[in-house]
Amino acid sequence: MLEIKNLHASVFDTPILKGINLSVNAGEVHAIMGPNGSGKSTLSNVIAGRDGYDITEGSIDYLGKDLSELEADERACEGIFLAFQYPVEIPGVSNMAMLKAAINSMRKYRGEDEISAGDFLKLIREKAALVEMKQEFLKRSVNEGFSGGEKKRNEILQMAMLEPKLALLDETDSGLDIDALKIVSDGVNALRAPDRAMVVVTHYQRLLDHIVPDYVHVLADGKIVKSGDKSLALELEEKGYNWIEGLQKAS
Amino acid sequence: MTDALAVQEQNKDLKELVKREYKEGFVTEIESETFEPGLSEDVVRRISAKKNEPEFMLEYRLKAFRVWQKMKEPDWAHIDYPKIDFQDIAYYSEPKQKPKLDSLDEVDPKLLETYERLGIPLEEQKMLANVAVDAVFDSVSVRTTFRETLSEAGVIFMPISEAVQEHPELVKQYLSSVVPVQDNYYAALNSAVFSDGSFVYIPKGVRCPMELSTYFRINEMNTGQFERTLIIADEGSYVSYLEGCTAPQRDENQLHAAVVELVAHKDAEIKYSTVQNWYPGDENGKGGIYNFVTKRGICKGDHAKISWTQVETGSAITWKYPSVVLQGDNSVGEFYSVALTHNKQQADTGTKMIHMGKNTSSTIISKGISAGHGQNAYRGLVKIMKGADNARNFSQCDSLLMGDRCGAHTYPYVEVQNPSANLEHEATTSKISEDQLFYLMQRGLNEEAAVSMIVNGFCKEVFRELPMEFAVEAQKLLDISLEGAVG
Amino acid sequence: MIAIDQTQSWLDQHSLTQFSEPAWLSAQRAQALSRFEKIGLPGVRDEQWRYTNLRKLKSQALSVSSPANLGIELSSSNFVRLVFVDGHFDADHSSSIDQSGVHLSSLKHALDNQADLLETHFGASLPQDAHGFTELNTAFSQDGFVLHVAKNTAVDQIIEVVFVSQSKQSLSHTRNLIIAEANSQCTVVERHIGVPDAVYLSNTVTEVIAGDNAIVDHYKIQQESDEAFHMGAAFVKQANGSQVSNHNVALSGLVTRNDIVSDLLGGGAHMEMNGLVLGQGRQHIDNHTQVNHLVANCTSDEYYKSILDDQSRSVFRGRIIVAQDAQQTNADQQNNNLLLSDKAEADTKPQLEIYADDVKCSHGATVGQLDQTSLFYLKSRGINAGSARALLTFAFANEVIDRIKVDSIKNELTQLIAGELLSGLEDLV
Repeated sequence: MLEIKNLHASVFDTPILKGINLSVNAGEVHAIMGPNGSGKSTLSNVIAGRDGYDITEGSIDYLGKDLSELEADERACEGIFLAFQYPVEIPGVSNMAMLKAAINSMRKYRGEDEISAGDFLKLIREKAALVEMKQEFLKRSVNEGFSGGEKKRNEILQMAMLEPKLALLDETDSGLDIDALKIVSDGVNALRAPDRAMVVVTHYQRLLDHIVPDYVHVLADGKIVKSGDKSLALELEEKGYNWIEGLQKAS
Repeated sequence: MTDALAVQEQNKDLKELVKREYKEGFVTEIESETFEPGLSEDVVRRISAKKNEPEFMLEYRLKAFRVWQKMKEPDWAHIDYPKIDFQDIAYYSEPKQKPKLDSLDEVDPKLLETYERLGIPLEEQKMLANVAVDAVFDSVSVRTTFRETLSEAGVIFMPISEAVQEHPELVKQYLSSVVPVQDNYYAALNSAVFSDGSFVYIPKGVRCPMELSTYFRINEMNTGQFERTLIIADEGSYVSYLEGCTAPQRDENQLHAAVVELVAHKDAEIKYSTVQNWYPGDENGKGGIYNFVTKRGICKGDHAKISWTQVETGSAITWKYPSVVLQGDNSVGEFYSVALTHNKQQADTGTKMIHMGKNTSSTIISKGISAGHGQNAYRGLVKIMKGADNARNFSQCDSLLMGDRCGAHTYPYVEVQNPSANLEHEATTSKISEDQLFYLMQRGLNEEAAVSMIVNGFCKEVFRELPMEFAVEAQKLLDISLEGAVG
Repeated sequence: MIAIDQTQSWLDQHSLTQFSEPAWLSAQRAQALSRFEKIGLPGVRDEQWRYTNLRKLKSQALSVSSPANLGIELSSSNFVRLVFVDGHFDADHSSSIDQSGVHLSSLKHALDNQADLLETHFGASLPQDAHGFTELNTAFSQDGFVLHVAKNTAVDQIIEVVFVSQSKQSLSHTRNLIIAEANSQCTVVERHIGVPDAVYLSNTVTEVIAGDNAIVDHYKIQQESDEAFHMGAAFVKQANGSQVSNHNVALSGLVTRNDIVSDLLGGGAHMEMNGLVLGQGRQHIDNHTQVNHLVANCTSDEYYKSILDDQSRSVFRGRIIVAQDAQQTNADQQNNNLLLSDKAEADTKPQLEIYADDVKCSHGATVGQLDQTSLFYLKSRGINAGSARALLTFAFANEVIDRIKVDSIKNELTQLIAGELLSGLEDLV
């Protein structure tokens, strides 16, 4: 589904990613771990197509398409979803209005008719229950006045609504207490599907207790320095990121 | 994350969006009787004679004309335009086939068609069931709908030219009681030459059974439009009033200098909404309406309330400051405004809240959007007089900038002479947030849709003050006005 | 009583030939005088003076005093100190600084010794639309101080300049320059004091030129007599990365006007403006500030507060201009006013004028009273109403004082303000 080859990328002209190779297939969950500043968040932003995050070398192939040719909204319509580390507040725009516009935009992209008001309501009620979100939140402005946990839950709700093929979860556990972490992970797990891939970016192993990955990659200084299965995360937890520095030097 | 590079990139993309069209820009081919350009005492007398006015009106006009002759055009606003030649404007124009206002059959079909095309059908069965319309075409009112329904409730809603005939005592009592003829240059000019407009009187204790609205249309070339609106809400009454404005697309600038006066007696409430969409000129600033308007209301009695809501997307130049004099104790004044300037449009708009009574409160919410080469200024005064104990004011003026050649300016004046007052003024200016744009695009919205969503969110606090049907209209208008502006 | 306009008599005091000076300065003075003759002194019809009536000032017969001995006792100071009496330099009470790269002297002395430097900078910071008092100052300033700090030099002492007005009906025009070359640093404290009840006009202008990455902290503590007129101005020009702060504290005087203008001319420059007004009696204090963001990537931060008692009146006009292409400007401005008396008045005009789009600019203004909840909270802790009010008022002022970087000045002002607001309660803070 996602084929990243020798990816070099800069953030506002500062090189961050320095040759990433990664292959993600449908149904798989990949975890990207690494110390602060290793380029984890950059990777998800590059895939999602954020302005200022430029590919300087290498390629990202997604379902046979060269991603660099697509705008952020087109990538979203192609099924890429980014759960933001810091979800943005948009005053005056209700959650409902935004989600409806997003769904219809994607339907239009696929040549489908707009969703009916009734179907939309039904869908959003069902999905809101999944992340235990109260109805009143849906009517409030996007993320405005939400607590850290509410914002993250809102991200997962949106993911559930938009049903992406590739979900990128950028530090979804940051700022969550243990209860919120559970609700969010349960939401994510419920969305695991054979035709859906997930890339979970995280600093800590604890999220991976809840969202168990098929593969773990360790990122340091813009490169994947080690890959393995879920046990790698445990090893990393035990040995600490200093261990990575050793690996880097060795490589 | 913000960065200059990304900004430039984004600006470039956004500028490529389509150009706006002014769909109300058509001309109605209709035979009119129009005065030759020029203003003199004789012209003032002729206007008065045309209207068959009683002596007191002629005297009023002549007094205003003499005051105007001695006044100077104000130059303090943040607007830039060539000097207006007031002798080059025609001060009166009316369709030749004079409509009889009681019967639709006698209205020139071309006029009816004009209003149809503008989305304002004048046949009652086609209209929004709960809105009465007074349609003003150039200098005269051509049709006022639902008059019977309204008169059953005791509400007077008619062209002011008729009110002068039928209710001279009310006109005499209230005309210029809020905006004196010498108030300012354009008010004096309007007082001398105004030709028509709407008159509303809501009797004691009556809640007006429907929305009232006036639809202003400038059609004739080189003609100024000088309408006069007077709304009186007697004790304990309520009225919601809406005005809309459009004009044909012409290369010449045209002058619109209106005066609106509102009087709210004890416990009365007036809600006045404007969707102003005069022709704004083309992208090079050619043509467009010069909109110099004086709007003021007085909360005369205790617990009176006046609320102004305006959505200003049209006009080459907008100069207007809908104001409230809070004379009665516990009276309330509100001003909600969205002003958008695109291409070479310029707006200098805001409000004055004059607190005189005790426990008075006012709220000001102003949202300015500048795009292209548009210049947008908020100018406001909040004044707390000595006797205005416990006055409250909250003002919020936000500006959104789209493109690096536009301007947003904020000039609030706060004058407080009473220590029990509590005032808070906040203003922010910024561009559309890239984070918000990216977030929405990541959710699949294209750039135009994302911008529209953010801008409408920005204006939400104002739109929700509009009557339902017009809020939707205003949102659409904003989208159309912003087309090609984004960035 | 119809007051007679005496302003012509002020001019009669001077003649431009009185100064034996370099030709460039004589030319500047002549130009300033001719501009003054065109514009005159401002009146209330002038938008920038609409809240400040100068009738009382204009009816005063004023004259330039001759140099005289200092007639009051100055408190001791740990700072390097220059003293001016009625606008004349008082060498006897002044000290000097002996640090390489630092030149501090009177303007007259500098004209003899650093003529080239002055020719470059004198008058160069003045705005095009300077008002009549500034033009008068250029035309007639008798003296003032000049501080020149060479490249890469940090002045190791705080410089204090005391302007004393002691002769009744005196008129003084003082002109000062602070020139901080690249990577230099200095702190200057201006004090303006007068003998009690004396009527006089102190008209002072300070030009500040901050080179690349220079740091200039400029304080002005105004304690003129209660009958005095004080016209003050600071015009600042800032190069790349320079950081200038202007702290403006007005504690007395009858009519005070300050014009503080900063031109941000180099990327990364930062201007901080802090102001505190303690209005009592019939004091009228008018602060006009303006920050001109002329290039990209500059920041400014402004914080002005007024506490107004009795019949005092405060006027604030804060203007932020962001020029076209001055992208990535970050500018904030706050003006808060506390009214303590039913005869006090506050007029505020915060203004944003913005011609670039990638900016974050905001202003806020409030006029009001002490927060009732806080008052109640203090009272519920056993503090009586009067003390609670005094404490909260003090806290309101202290938010500005807290932004002062020099501890000794901060302490001094804290004491001063505590003395004004907390009589008998000083131990509470």
